[in-house]
Amino acid sequence: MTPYEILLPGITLLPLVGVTILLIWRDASKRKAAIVGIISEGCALIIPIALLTALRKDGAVYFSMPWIPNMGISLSLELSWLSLIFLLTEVLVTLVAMIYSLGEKKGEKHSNYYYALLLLFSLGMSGTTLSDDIFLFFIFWELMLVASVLLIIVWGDGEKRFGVGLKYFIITHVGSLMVLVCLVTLFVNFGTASLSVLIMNASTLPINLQLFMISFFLIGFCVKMAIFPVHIWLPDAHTVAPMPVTIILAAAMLSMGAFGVLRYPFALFPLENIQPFAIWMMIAGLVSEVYGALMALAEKDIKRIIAYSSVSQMGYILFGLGTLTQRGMEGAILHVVYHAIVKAMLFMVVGIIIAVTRERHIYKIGGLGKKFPILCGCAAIGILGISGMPPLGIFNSEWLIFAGGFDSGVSITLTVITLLGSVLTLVYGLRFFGKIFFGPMKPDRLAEKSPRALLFPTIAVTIFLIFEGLAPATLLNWAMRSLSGIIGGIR
Amino acid sequence: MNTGTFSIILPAVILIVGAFLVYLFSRFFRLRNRLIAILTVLILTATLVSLVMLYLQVPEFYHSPNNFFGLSEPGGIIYRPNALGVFILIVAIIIGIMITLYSAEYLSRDPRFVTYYPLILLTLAGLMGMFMSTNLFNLFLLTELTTITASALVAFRFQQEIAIKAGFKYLIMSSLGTMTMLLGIYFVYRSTGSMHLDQALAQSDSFTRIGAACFLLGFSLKAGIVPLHTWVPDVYGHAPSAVSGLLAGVLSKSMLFILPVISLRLGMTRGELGGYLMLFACFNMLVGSVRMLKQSLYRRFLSFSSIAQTGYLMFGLGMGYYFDLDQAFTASVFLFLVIAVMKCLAFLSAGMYQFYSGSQDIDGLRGIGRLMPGTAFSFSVALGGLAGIPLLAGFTGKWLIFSVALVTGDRFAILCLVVFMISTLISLGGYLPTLVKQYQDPSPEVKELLTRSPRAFRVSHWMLVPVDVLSLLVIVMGVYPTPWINLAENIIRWMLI
Amino acid sequence: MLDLSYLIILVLFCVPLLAALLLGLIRRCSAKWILGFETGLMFLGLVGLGVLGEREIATSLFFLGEEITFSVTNMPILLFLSALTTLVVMFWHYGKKDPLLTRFHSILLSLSFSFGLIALLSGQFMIRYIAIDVVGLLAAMMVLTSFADIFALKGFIIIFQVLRLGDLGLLAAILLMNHYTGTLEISEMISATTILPLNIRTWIYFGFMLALLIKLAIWPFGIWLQKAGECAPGIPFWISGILTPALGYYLLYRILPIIHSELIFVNLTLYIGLGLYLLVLLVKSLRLVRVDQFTNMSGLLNCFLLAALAINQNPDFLVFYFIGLIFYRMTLVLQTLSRRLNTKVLFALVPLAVNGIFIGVNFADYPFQFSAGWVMLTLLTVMWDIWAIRQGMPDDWQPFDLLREEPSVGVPPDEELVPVQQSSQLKESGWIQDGVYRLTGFMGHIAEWVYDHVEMRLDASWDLLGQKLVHFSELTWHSVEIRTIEKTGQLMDDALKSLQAHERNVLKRSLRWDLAWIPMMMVIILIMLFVF
Repeated sequence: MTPYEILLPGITLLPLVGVTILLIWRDASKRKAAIVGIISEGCALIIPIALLTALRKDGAVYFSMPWIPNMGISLSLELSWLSLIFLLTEVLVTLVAMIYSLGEKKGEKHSNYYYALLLLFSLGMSGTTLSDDIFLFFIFWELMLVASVLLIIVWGDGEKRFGVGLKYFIITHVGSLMVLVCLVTLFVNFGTASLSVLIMNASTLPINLQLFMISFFLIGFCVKMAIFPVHIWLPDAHTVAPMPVTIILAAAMLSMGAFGVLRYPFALFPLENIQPFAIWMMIAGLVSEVYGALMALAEKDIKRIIAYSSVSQMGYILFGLGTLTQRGMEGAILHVVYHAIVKAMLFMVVGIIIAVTRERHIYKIGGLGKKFPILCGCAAIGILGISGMPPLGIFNSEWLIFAGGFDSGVSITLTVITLLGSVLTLVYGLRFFGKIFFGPMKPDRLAEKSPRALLFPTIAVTIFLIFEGLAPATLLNWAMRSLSGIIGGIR
Repeated sequence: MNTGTFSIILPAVILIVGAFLVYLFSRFFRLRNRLIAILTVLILTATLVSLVMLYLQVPEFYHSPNNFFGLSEPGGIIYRPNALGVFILIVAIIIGIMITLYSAEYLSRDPRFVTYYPLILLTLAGLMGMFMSTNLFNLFLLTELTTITASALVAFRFQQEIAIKAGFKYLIMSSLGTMTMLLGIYFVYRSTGSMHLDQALAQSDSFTRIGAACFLLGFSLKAGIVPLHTWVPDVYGHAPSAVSGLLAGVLSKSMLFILPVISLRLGMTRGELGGYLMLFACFNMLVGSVRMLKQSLYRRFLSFSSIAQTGYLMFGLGMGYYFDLDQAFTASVFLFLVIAVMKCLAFLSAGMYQFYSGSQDIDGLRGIGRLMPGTAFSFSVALGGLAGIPLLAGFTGKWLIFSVALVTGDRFAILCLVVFMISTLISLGGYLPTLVKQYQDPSPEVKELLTRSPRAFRVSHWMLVPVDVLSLLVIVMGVYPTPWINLAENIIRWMLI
Repeated sequence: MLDLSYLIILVLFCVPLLAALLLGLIRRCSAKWILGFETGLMFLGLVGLGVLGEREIATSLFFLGEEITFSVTNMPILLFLSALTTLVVMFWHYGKKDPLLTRFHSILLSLSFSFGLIALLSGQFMIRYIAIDVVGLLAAMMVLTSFADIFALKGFIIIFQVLRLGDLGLLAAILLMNHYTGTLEISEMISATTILPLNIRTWIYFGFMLALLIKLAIWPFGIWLQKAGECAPGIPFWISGILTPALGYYLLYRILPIIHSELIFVNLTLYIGLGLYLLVLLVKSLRLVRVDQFTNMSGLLNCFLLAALAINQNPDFLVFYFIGLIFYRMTLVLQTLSRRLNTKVLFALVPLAVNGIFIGVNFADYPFQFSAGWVMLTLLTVMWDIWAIRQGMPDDWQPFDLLREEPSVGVPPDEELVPVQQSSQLKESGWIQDGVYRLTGFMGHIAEWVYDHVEMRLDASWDLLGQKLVHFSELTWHSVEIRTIEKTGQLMDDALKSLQAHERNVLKRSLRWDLAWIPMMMVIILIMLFVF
C-alpha cells in the first residue's frame, strides 16, 4: 500500500475525528467549536491537494478495505479527476461557510453539535464523490441528506422549519429511492458493489434494462439538482436553513446531482444508449432555466430570489450534461464550480444585507449602495457573474455549454432559445441589485457598518471568483481529464 | 422408548421450572419487583446459555438421525430442533432479558408484578415448544399456552378498561385462531390417522390441505396478517410497553416462520405458500403504512408500523418460497433480527415516554427531547431504523430485500417491490414527523413538566441500559452487518425446512 | 521573440487598466491629466501599430483552450483613431466648462480604451466577444451617477439588457460558426462559413443581424442609445455614442463575406435598411427632440450603411465611409449637447458630403437608378436634419428633463408646422407649395397618430415588457408555486382527515366486525388452495 493510498481515507476520517471531538466536547463555545470544524475541514482540503502528484502520475488513487465481504461490499474509495473537482468545490464551500458562520448569530446554543453536523454534511458529500462502492455511495448520499435535514430542523428560522425539513427530506428521498432501485439492480445483476467493476461490465446488460436504469438515474439525480417539476423542496429549504447551511446546500449539494449523473449513468452505460434522453435533458434544462429565472423575478424574499436562481442555474448544468458532448459536459463541470463560487458569494451578500437591515422583503430594502459601497461592489460582481458577464467565471462555462449545445446537433433552435433565455438571468439579477442598492434609503433603522466577520469572507470569495474566471486553464484541464473516462477522446 | 438428547428439551425445562420457582419465591419471600426481575434475568440467561449450546450442536444434529427428544413410536411426542427455530428462540430470549430488565423499573408503580415475570417465562416456553414440536396436537396446546399467557400479559393493567378490552380482544381472536387449528387437526387426523407432521407429509391429500389451510389461517391471525390484523393496534397500543415490545418484536413475527413449516408439511406447495405470503404482504405494507399516518397515540402508531414491517418480512419469505431462493431466506432472517431489535427498542422508548410524561398522545411528544434527551435519541434511532435511513440496521435489511426482489426479475415480485417502495415512502410521512416532534417547541403538557423540573429527567438505569444496548445494536448492525448476515446465511444452510 | 506590435498592444491594453486602478485607488491624482495622457498614448501607439504594418500576432496565451491572437489591420486602427479624435474634439469643445465627467466616469473611460482596443484588434472571436460585452457593460455603467437616481438606474438596466441581448445574438452566431468550422480565428471562420449549408448560414446571419441592429442603434433597436443620451450627456456619452457603434461598424465589415455569400442575404440587408429608413422617416420626421434627433439621424445613416454594404463590391473603401459616419456622430453629439455653436446647420451637410463622396467614388459600381435614389434619400435626410435643427431649439432646455418637457415643443398643428416667415413665402409661391404644404400637414397628422400610438408606446415598451414579464412570472408563481403547494397540501390534509375519522370509527367498532374477517379469510385461503 503506497502512502497515497493511506492518505486517501483521511479525507473522510479527519472530519470524522473532528465530529468525535465536537461530540465529546459538550461545553465548547461557538468560536472554539468552529475552529475545530475549520481545522478538520482544512485537513480534508489539504489531502486531495497533496494527492495531486499521485493523481497526475496514475490518473486515480484507490483505497479498498473489505467491509461486508459476503455481499461483495467493501469500503473502497477512489480519487479521480472528476471527484477531485467536486470534492475541492464542496470542501472549499464548507470551509467558507464555516468561516462565515462565525459572524452569524445562529448556532450559539449547542454549537458543538452545529459544527459536528456541518462536518457530517460535508463528509457526506466528500464520501459521495469519493466512494467507489455503490453501497457506500448510497450511505454517504443519505448521510448528506440526513445531516442537512437535521441542520434545517434544529437551527432553521421560524416554526415552519419542521414542515420544510420534512418536505425536503421526503421529496429528496423519493429521488434517492429511484437511484437506489438502479443501484440494487446493478448490484443484483453483477453480484458486486464495486463501481469500477460495474463500469467495466454494465454495458453488457440488456438494452431495455439499460434504458430503464438511465431514466431512473436521471430522474433521481434531477430531484437533487432541483430541476423544474421536482424543485419544490428547494426554495423553502434554502430560505429556512441558517445561512451557512444555505450556502452549502446551494453551492455544493445541488451539484452532487450533476456528479451523480456523470458518475453513474454516463460512466456506466455507453453514450449511444443515453442519446435518446439527450433532448429531454436539454428541454428540462431549458425549462428549468427559464422557469427558475421567472420565479426569481416574481419572488419578494431576497433569500428566495437567490434560491430560485439556483433552479435556473441547475438548468444550465443539466442542459450541458444533456448535450452529451465533450464541451457541453466540460461546461457543466465548470459551471458547477463557478456556480458554487458565485452562489456562495450571493448568499453571503444576502446574509450581510439581512444582518444590516433585519429585513428580507425586497420592497422594504433600498438605497444601500451609498452606505455600503464594498457590499455593493461584491453584489455587483456576483450579479454580473451569475448573468454570465465575460471576465467572471460563469461566462466560460456558459460558452462551453452552449458550444456543446451546438455540437450535439440535437436542435439548433433549442440551443438558441436557451442562449437567449439567459438574458432573463440579467433581468432578475438587475432587479435584485437595483432594488436593494439604489433609490431612497430603506429601512430607516440600519446598522452603521456591515459586520466585518461576514464581509471579509465575502470579499475573499469575490477575489477568488475574479481570479478563477480569468484563469480557467487548470480547471478546464481537470474537467477534460475527468471526462476522458466517460467519453474517451471524442471531440 | 427413545428419549434422545436431553439437551434439546433443557431450555424449555429451565423456563417452565423457572416460572414456577419465580412465582413461589416471590410469593413466599415477598420479594420486591427488582429482585424478581433479577431472578428472572438469571433464569433467562441460563436458558440462553443452554440454547446457545444447542445452537452449536445443530450442525451435528443435521447429520445424525438421533436428533430429537421424545417418543418415536406412534402417538409419541417428538421435539426436534432446527437451526432457524433455535436462532429465533435465542433472539426471543435476548429480547426477553431486555424487557425483564426494563420491567424492573417499569412495573414499579404496578401492584401485581408477582405474576408478570412467570407469565413472560411461560410465554417464551410456549414459543419454544412451538418451534420444536412436530406433533400437531402438541403444537396446538403450546400455541394455546402462548396465547393465554400473552393475553394475560396484555390485560396486565387491569385497572384500565381499555387494557382489559384489548386483552379480551386478543384472547377471543387468538382463540378463534387456535380453534381453527383444532379444526385443521381434525381434518389431518381424519385423512392420515396420525397427528404427526412427518406422516402427514408422506400421505397428503385434499383433507390435509384443508387442514393446512386451517393452520395457515390460525397462524396468519397470530402474525397479524391483513385483514386479520385488527387486534394488533389495540393490543400493542394498550398492553404494557414491555409486553408490546416482546409481542411486536418477536412473538407475532416468529409465527411467520412456523407457518410455512406446518403448511408445507401438510401438503401446500411452495408456490402456493409463496404466492399467499407475497400477495398479503402487499396488503400489510399498504395498510400498515397508510394507517400509520394519522394516529393520535404513539404506541398505536408503532403498532401500525409493526403491521407494515410484518409485510416486509412476509415479502422476503414469500419470495424465498415462491422462487426457491436461499438469498431471500437469508434476507428474511436478517430482517427478522433487525425488526425484533428495532421494534423492541421503539416500544421500550415509547414506554419510557409514557412512564415519565404520563401522556400517550403523539402531540404530547412535542419538545419532549428537552426533557429526556437520551430517550429521544434512542427513539429517533428506532424510528430512523424503521424508516430505513442508511447506517442504521433497517436500511441493510431493506437493501437485502430489494436486491432479492430484483434478483428474481419476476413480474409479480417487481409489482410487490413497487408496493414495497410506495409503502416505504408513505411510511416516511409517518416516521419523520413523529421523530421531528420530539425536538419541536414543547407542547403545553411538556411545558408544564418543564416548569416543574427545568432540568432533564433522571431516567432510571434499569430502563436506560436495555434501551441503550438495543440502540447500540441497531447502529452496529447498520454499520457493520457482516457477522449478522453471516449468521443468517449459516442458519439457512442448516435449516431443516 | 517579442513582436514590437505585440508589445505595443500589450502596453496599450495595460496602461489604461493601470490608470483606471490608479484613479480608483488614489483620490489625489487628476482624472483630466491621466485621461489626456492615455489618449495621447493611444494615439501614438495606434499610429505606431499602423506604421509597423498589418500582421497576425500569435500570443502563446490560451483561454478556455483557444489561443489568443491579434490581427492588426488598418481598418480597426483608423476606426479607433477617428473615435479618439472625436473624443479630443469633445474635450476641446467643452474647454473649461464642466464636462459632466466624474472620477467614476474617467475610470470607465480608461477601461473602455483597453477593451475597445481588444475588441477591435483581437483576431479571435471569443476574446473579441468578451471585449465587446465588457464595452457594453461600461456603456451602461456610464449612466450611473448616484445611488439615489432611480431614473439613471432604469436607464442602466435598459441599456445593459438590450446590449446584452444583442451580444447573445452575436454569441449564438459565433458558437454556431465555431461548431461548423472548428476554429475561432475570425478570418478563417468567416471564410469557412461562406460555404456552409444555407439554413445554418441563415441562423448565423440573423444572429449577427440582431447584434448589429442593436449595436448600431437603429430604430427601433436603438432605444438603449436614447436612454444613454438622456441619462449621461457629455463626454461619458462617448462610449455608447461613438465607441460602441464603431465596434459595430467593424463587426459589420468583418462579416461582409457572409452577407455577400448569398444573394438573398444581400437583398434582405437592403430591404431591412431601406424599410427601417422609411419607417423612421415616417414616424420620427415631424416630432424631433434633440436626443431623439441624434439617435434618429445616426440611425438613418446606419440604415444607409447597411443598404450600401449590401450592394458594395469593394468593401475596403468603406473605411472612409465609416470614419465619416463617426465624425458625423460627433457633430450630432456636440450639436445636441451644446448651445454655443451657431453653425449647427452646417453639420447637417456632413451626411450629404459623406454620401456624396461615397457615391461619387463608387459611381461606376452601381446602376444609375440606385445612385440617383441614393442621392435623393441623402438630400431628404439632410433637409430633415436642417429642418429639425432649426425647429427644435427651446431656450430653457435642461439635459435631464428632456422627456418631461418635450411634448409642448413637438409637432404643432398645421399652421405652426412651418416657421412663420417660411409659411408666408409658401403662400405666395402658388399651388405647388400649397399642395406640398397640405401634404406635409397630412403627413403630420399621420405622424402625430403614429407618434402617439406607436412611438410613445415603443418608448415605454421596454418598461412594459419588463412589467409584463414580472407580472407573468408573478402569475405563474402564484398559480404554480404557491397554489399547487397549497392545493396538494389541502388534498393531503383532506385525505389525512378522512383517515383520522376512519380511525375514530375503528376505535368505536365492536368486535364482531373483526371476527367476521376470520371466516372470510378462510374462504379466501380455500379458494386459493383449491381453485387456483
